[in-house]
Amino acid sequence: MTARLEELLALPGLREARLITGDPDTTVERVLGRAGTPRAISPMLFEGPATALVLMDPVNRFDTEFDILLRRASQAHVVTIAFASPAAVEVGPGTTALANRFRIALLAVPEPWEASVQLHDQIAASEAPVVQLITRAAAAALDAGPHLAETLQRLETALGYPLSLLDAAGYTLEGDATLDDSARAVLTASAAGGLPVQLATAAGTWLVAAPVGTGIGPRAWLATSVPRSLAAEAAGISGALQTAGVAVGHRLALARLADERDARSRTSLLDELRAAGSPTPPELAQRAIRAGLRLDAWHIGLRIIPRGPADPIAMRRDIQSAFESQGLNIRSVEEETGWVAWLSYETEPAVTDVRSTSAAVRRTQAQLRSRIPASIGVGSVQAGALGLVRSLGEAADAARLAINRPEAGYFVHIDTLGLAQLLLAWTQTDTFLPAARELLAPLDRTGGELLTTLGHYLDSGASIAETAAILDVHRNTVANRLAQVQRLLGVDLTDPETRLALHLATRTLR
Amino acid sequence: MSMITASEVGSLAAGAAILGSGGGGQVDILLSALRPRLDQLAVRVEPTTGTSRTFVSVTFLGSTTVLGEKPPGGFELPEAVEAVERWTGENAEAVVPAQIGGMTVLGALLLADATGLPLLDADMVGRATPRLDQLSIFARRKVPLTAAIVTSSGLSMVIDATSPVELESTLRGAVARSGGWAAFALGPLPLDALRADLVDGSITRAVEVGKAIAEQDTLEAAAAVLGGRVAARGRIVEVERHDDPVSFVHGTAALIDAKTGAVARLEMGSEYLYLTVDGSPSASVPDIISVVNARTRAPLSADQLRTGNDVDVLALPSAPLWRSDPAFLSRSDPRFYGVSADAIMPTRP
Repeated sequence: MTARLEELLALPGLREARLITGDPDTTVERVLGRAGTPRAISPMLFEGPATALVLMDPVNRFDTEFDILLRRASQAHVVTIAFASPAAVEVGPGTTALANRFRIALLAVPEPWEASVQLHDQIAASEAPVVQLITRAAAAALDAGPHLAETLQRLETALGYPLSLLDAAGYTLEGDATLDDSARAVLTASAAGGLPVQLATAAGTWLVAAPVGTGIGPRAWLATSVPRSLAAEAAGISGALQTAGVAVGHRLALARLADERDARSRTSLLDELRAAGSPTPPELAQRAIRAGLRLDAWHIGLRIIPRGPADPIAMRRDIQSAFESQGLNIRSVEEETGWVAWLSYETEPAVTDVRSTSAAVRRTQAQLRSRIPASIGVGSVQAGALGLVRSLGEAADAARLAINRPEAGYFVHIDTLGLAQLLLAWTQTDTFLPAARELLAPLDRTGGELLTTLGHYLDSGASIAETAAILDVHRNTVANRLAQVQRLLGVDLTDPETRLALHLATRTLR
Repeated sequence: MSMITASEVGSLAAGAAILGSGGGGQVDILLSALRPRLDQLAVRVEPTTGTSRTFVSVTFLGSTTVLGEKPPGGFELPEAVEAVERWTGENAEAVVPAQIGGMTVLGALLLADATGLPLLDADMVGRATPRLDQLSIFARRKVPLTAAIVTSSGLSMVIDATSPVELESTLRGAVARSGGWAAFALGPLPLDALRADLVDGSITRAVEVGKAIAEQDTLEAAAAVLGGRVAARGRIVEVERHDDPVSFVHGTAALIDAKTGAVARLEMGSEYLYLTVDGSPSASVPDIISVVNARTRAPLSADQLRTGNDVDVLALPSAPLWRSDPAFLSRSDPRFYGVSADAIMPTRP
């Protein structure tokens, strides 16, 4: 087993060590601890594999004796010497120069004994570090209270590595780790297995991740990174994270239970408001007030429908905080799919307020895009409890429209739609769109001319003269084109129902 | 070498500075003191096999830095010699510098010149030493220990000690509390009994070293002529000194050779004691490790060494006496100076 000096120095137990001189890339194969003065140690060195020599007694003077030790050490293939020395004693430039000449790295450590044990554990490939780390993780998990943050913090302190909690897809929930796409792909692929993952990262470390199961909801990951050559450390951390994963899962489950309980009460309150009609029964109004809802206010309803699988309960906080980051203090309630939400105002919001709110909702939607792609519908401004229910209803309609409007960024705000447009929008359904396309397909093949002419003809109330004026062509041309349309489509334009169908179809495709 | 005159003084001083191994004090102070007398200077140098029956050994004790700030008045050494002669009732017939390295030999020269006594071509170290009890004559036999000091503030003390260690520690304490440095005289001692325990030919050696350094084209050539080598060179990148009352070692310095990348390190007390190159032992006491300015070849003492100095490190063999008997070696190997290592056997180039 070998390890690079740089990586050994990254070990929690060796973080206080200082590399005075030497190449951090130096590879160490074994560790040798020796007590006594440099003079006494010199004759005890014999040739072997690349050795880290740890001087157990402090070095009080870097003089001839130490030079002689350096020479003997280099002959014995010592690649680094770790030692402690009193604060006042400095390693001089002569000693440094000689160490460099012999390619021996000098390492100042506060506790030689501790350093020796750490180095030995890493290089000798013993089980000790694994057991030690697992025990530490278990102790920390037992000591921690019911809160996730505290549990994570205790685990970090115990293990000496910063931990991150990732969701099933590898996105960071807690901590600083950010994974690249390939690492996330591996985690996503391994999520079902329930086994820990050890990945080599581009940064030259191991990403060690252990699954966190809660029994309900999707899996999460507990992850950290460990220097690449420290296999024993990585194995130990992997074991420790698995142990810690049980504790973290337990905390997550507790939090989830509380969330679900809250979600149920929110949902049922909203359902009752919807069912109640006007006026709101006093008992229900009181419950709403107790729950912190302001009913006698102006409301703008929102409906958020995720365009992929999403857990409404787990992700409600993300939604909430995303809106908050755009300055929108929404109330939100989980639905079967997605969320309903609303904004309340003391007084009737001005048109400009509504417009800026709408813009802020769009920004929020854009911000959420990478994690929770969603279609969002926004209702109009309505007052009172009944108004809230109405606005939410409009928002739900708008959201359904938004699903089929990628060109509008999956976003529809009822206020910007005329009622007619809303009506028309209802034609843009999965069934009507292909039918319209099919109906007008023969015209496409002749270029846009015929379709444009047909559109203007129908818009102008079936007036050939008007159409000719709009298109700036002779009316015979218009008549001729309409004859072509009738021939190609096989329809009769004098029939009002045919005209209505074609009118809707041209509008839909325009 | 039978006579030191104006023409030899320069080489003698330069050689003594190199043999000082980074210690022994700055030769320039006493060189200045000699200058007015240079014209008439003619000091006899006698071999140890000569006619003298007794000798007095002299040196300076204490801080050589203070000695630079409070230069000798010239009376201190003669008064110290007079004091031991008066106390013992015997007269010294020759002068021996206690150590050849550094300024002592020039002090002995001034004394010989003033008293008309000859210098013996010998010393008791062959280099410089920080401690009296390290002198070669104490290694193998009991020597009558009558000594005198005259401190820079004029205090005279005569002391009869029972052991060299006691002599050393008592005088060291006295000097520290009176003036910071002192002229020291030991003797008169019988030459016949101690001849084999003296480092023979030291004056000749110092002149030889001084000449080689000044005259050879390269430092390597000079080192080769003297049986030594240039053991390291480069720029000083690190000098660290600390007070260490127990051991002799007070500091460490590292230099890097820009050409080869070799890292050399010097352990130093008041002298340079131990040299490693790339962590491999290269030279040690009792051999002479001398650091010289790479451009001027001027020796740099251990307390002058600074980061950024461009230096050559010269290793010269010790006086043969130190390796001739374990009794000698144990007083001069690195352990004696607090460096826990064996003496490095010299490698001839």
